[in-house]
Amino acid sequence: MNQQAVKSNSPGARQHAPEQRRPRSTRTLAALLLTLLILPLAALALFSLTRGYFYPQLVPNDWNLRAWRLLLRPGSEVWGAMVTTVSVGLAVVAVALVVAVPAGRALGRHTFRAKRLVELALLAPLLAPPVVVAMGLDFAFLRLRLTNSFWGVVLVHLVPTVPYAVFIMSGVFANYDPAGEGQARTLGATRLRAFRYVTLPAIAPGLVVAGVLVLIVSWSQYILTLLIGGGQVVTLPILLFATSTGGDTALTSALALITIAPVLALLFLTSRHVSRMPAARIGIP
Amino acid sequence: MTTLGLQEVSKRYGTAAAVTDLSMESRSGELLTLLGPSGAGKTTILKLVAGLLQPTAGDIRFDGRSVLAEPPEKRRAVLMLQGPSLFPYMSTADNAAFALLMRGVARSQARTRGEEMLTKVGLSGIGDRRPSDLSGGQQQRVALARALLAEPRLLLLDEPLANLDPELRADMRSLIRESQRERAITTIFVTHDQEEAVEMGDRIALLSDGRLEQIGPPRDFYERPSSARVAQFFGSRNMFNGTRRGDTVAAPFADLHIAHARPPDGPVVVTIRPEAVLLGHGGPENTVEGRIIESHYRGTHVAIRVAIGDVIIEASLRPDEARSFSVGDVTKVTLPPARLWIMPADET
Repeated sequence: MNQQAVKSNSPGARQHAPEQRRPRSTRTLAALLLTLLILPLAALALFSLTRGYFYPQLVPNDWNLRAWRLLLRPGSEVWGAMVTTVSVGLAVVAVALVVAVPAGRALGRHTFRAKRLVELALLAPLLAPPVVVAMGLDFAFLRLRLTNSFWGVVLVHLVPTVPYAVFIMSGVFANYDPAGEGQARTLGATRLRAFRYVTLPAIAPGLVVAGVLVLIVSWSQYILTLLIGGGQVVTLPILLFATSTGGDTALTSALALITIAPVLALLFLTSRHVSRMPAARIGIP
Repeated sequence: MTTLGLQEVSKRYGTAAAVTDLSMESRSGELLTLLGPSGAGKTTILKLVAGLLQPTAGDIRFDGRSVLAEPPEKRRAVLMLQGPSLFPYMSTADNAAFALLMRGVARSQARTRGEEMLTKVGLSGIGDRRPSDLSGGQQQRVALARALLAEPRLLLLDEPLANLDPELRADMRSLIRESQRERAITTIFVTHDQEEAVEMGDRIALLSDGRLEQIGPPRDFYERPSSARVAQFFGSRNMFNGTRRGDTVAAPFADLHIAHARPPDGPVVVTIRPEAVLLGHGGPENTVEGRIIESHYRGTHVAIRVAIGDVIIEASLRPDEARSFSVGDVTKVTLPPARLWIMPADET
């Protein structure tokens, strides 16, 4: 068992045997995690398919698709919220990565005065309660006329996401050998082309990990979106909270599933990338 | 066909000096080896020439024209590093043709020329493979093909053979030498291996602590080292201190006649090649007595170590000459004046 585990970690083995067996302990853990993740979702699924589901029923006795029909009908506000959430998310990912690549490189590769201070400053938005941050930012954004706007929301989503992206990329760059770039430059590549042909392929797995994480964090923002978006920028979480206060359990459950489904799908699609990155390369402090 | 000139080049990182006041000139088409222990600033010099670093002071000229304002991609000073330096995400042919692709040559044409060059370095039919599927030796050949296809004005090699086993290293040495001679590419070859420097170089530049110790043909470093440090680096065994006064040097065991005008009077270090030392038959000058303390048979010659007072002198004799000497004998030792080389004593 142990030998297999060691073997399956080598890059060569991974290439030739993608379906390698994992040790039993790993499989048990995976099953446990999956159960913990799926059970609440299963409950939501049950709730979403019935009008009433009360003790002592083991399963609901009246099934219907009312909530789903209502939410997925053409012209439902769910579609608009979905588009807004995806657009905000993608814009946040793009900006966060553009910031994180040079910043991560500086933090990962160079030592400079006040480096620890910069790292601490990066953590600050993650440590402070989001409501406090949002209140303060709301005043600033009001003055800059950024409230109630798409770009205002994108900008405020950068607050909790950029730190993650920068830390991931600094971990990636800490293990990155820049010799290849110099090599490419002397062979006639401009700075931009050296980045495109040498740096980018090398850091791509890290970019995927950072991008996915940023997208997930942006996807689940509520307070920041509500305060800065002012109800004008309606993302799925905003819609979900509004619905949940309406007291319709089936509707809320169905919308909760709709909100979480794309995130889960994305995680499954990219899990290969994430699990292939050694922890050291991801480098979350 | 390009000459490289460094003029009083210095490179400091903060307060630490990597290169100090370095001036040297390479000749067109020659292979100049940069030799020195690790930390001597060799790699820094290559990076300065390639344009990957900017000097703190001084000027770097190709064919007499300063290139300091030119970015690396314009200088055509191509670097070849030690170890696997291929781009792992490209095929072998794309790697070889990288410079052509960067110059905007059409992909199909670049590929063909890449394959051609690969054939020239002894690798045919592997253009589609990934670098990770090649052996270390093959990777270095691809790296050489890639460098040659860039049509470099200067080829800068940073210990390109360091990670190869001895047999491959010898092959690669001659391949580099052939390719470089054929195209008359002025080449700077960095190594810390004295043997490699001697074998590869038309000339050698010996560096220590970021300063140039001596530059010249390999022979000079054995026969006319500029300082005790150089002599030591080249494995000189017979060194002793003395004081020069006119035509004689007062050595610890005798006054020796010398035939060289420099350096001037004062403390000096004297050295002599083991094969220049004569044993047994007393010569007209500089003959003293010593006791043989060791004798080592080395196949082509016998190394005999003789103690003259506190100084130990090694003589190298042909095996048939050496037969008449055995350990414990007292014998005459002659140090011919013309073969004694004297250097200024190090300040330190």
